[in-house]
Amino acid sequence: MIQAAELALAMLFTPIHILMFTLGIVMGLFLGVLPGIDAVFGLAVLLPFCLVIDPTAALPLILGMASITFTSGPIPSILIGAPGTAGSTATIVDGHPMAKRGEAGKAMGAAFTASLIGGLFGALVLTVSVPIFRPLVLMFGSPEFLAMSILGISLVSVLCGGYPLRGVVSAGLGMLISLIGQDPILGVERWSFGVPYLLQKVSIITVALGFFALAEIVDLAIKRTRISVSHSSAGKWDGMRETLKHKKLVLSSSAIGALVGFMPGLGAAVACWIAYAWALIVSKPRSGFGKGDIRGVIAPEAADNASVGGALIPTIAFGIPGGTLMALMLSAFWMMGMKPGPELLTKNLHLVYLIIWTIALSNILGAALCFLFTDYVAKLATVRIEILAPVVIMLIYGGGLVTTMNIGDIIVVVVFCILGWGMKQLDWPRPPLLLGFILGPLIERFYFASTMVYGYKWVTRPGVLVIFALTAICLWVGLRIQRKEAEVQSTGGAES
Amino acid sequence: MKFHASKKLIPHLVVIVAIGIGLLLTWDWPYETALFPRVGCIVVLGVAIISLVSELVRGRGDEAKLGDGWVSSQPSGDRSLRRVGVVFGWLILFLIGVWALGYEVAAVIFVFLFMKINGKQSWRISILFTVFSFVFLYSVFRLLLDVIWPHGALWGILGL
Repeated sequence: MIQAAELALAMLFTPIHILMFTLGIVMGLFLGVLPGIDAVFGLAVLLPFCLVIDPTAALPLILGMASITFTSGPIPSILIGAPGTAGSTATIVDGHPMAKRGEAGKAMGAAFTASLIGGLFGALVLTVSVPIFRPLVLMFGSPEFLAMSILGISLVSVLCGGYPLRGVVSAGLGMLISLIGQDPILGVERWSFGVPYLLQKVSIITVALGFFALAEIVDLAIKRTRISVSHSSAGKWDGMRETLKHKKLVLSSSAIGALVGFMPGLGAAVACWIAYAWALIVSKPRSGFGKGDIRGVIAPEAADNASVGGALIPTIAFGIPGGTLMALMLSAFWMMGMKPGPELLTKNLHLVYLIIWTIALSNILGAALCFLFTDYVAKLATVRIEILAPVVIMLIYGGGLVTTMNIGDIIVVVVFCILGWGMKQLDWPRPPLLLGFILGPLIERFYFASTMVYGYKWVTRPGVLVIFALTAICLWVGLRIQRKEAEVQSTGGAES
Repeated sequence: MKFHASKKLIPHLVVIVAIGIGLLLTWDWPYETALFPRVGCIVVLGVAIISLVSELVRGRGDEAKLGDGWVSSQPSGDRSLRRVGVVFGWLILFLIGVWALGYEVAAVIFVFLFMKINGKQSWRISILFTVFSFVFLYSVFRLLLDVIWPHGALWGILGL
């Protein structure tokens, strides 16, 4: 095993591998910064090359690119409120308010440091799991995935920021919107009114682009103000220090990211929200969350990057892709002649270690490169909105349109912009809607899969019971947070 | 009992009506198709009604003041209906432009017109950013990523 690890490391430092690795990292950094365009898109572009390049050279290219989009993804989330990747959606909640306060550099410093630690944690989890891949994957089935999704939706109780009922309605709306299209069991159309575009599921990227990014830019354009009037001296190094100060939060969020990433179907988009809610539960004081609390940036970013390592476990061990990115990764493996499963783990173990080394090194290099440019990028927040708005709107429309190349993508972006802006003006919490939208289809799919295989006995599986106990704790803590917030606000109201 | 009617109750009513219609539409669907939408609609409808009643009875004016990430906490300044209409009008015009002319052409025209007319920028800045936008779109999406944007409907109608 050690020999295989050494061989993989030696391979990574040959000229052709260094070249491919660098190409992948530069491409990943660039794609992550473009709103709405993520590693899935990059991998689709690179897939044909996997046929013609030597597998050991193609691996650093595709994995370097895929890992790094998660590191640069928070840049647009923090600066303009547009998620660079689906795993950066939760970063918007506190990252963007920090940028508005002139602390974009600090937020990005924290995000890159947390991403680096999360990415390394994910690689470590992958390394440790190699000998126990098989029993580890078999421990989890659709009932556990369902229980985990229910745990995710229970986090609405901590995400509704003082409006519990509105939060539940918001999450419910998100779930119902996510059900539009063909149902996964019989293929019958639901609420699509014969519109072909609506038969397919609406993408989380187009929803998040409209709901947060475009809504924020529209709000700024209406107010005729810039993202941040001042540029704080608190920069990337302060962000790094803050992250290192919260090492327990970073490590626990990384563990959440790796675990959720490991569960097929959940992925980074779910991991970042669970980690965000985790930060809310374990942090004190909580009053700064939603207003630019750095812990709200650290937790989702650590989880986001750690999820890559976790997601690769079922992909490598059984050839079970956890999501679109891993499905494409699996296609790339097959095209390169690599067969995930026992053969890869025995005959080609050095390739598994090449994957692990690539993830670890690309996270280090990616974070270093992002750090290098943070100060320049952070100044974008002070650009006048008259100049920034048209360019950002152009990118948001482009990011939306790339999803399916249908005008319906942009219509969805605009519709969700109106909804997001309206909710913002009328004091309706927005994060629960996004959480509901992400988890709705997963809960439905895993529910039917669980009841078909296990009947109603799925509820009694030990893993499910443990996750349900965690759900109950989350709900209890969430309700306590809501009660305390109400008490603080009523006291404040009485004093003022 | 004192009732606090305000414009903030409008979203509740919109949600209740929309979900009510959505629930009615599930009536003819098979069990597997309808299970989740129906349960979801009933739960959301119930909570929305409870929320509406509680806000009608208690009022929410003095309650939670949340951050930007959750909801708006800042006064929006000049948020007259006219400015809201103008900004959303630009979004709709850009959308129509993408449909009619294709993304690349519409994006370039949008950037120039938004800067010149809405942003009241100088000719120099407006042209500079328009050229920059075009070069960026073409080099990144067309050359680097090999993205082929859908053609505008107008070109099809004109037979181009």
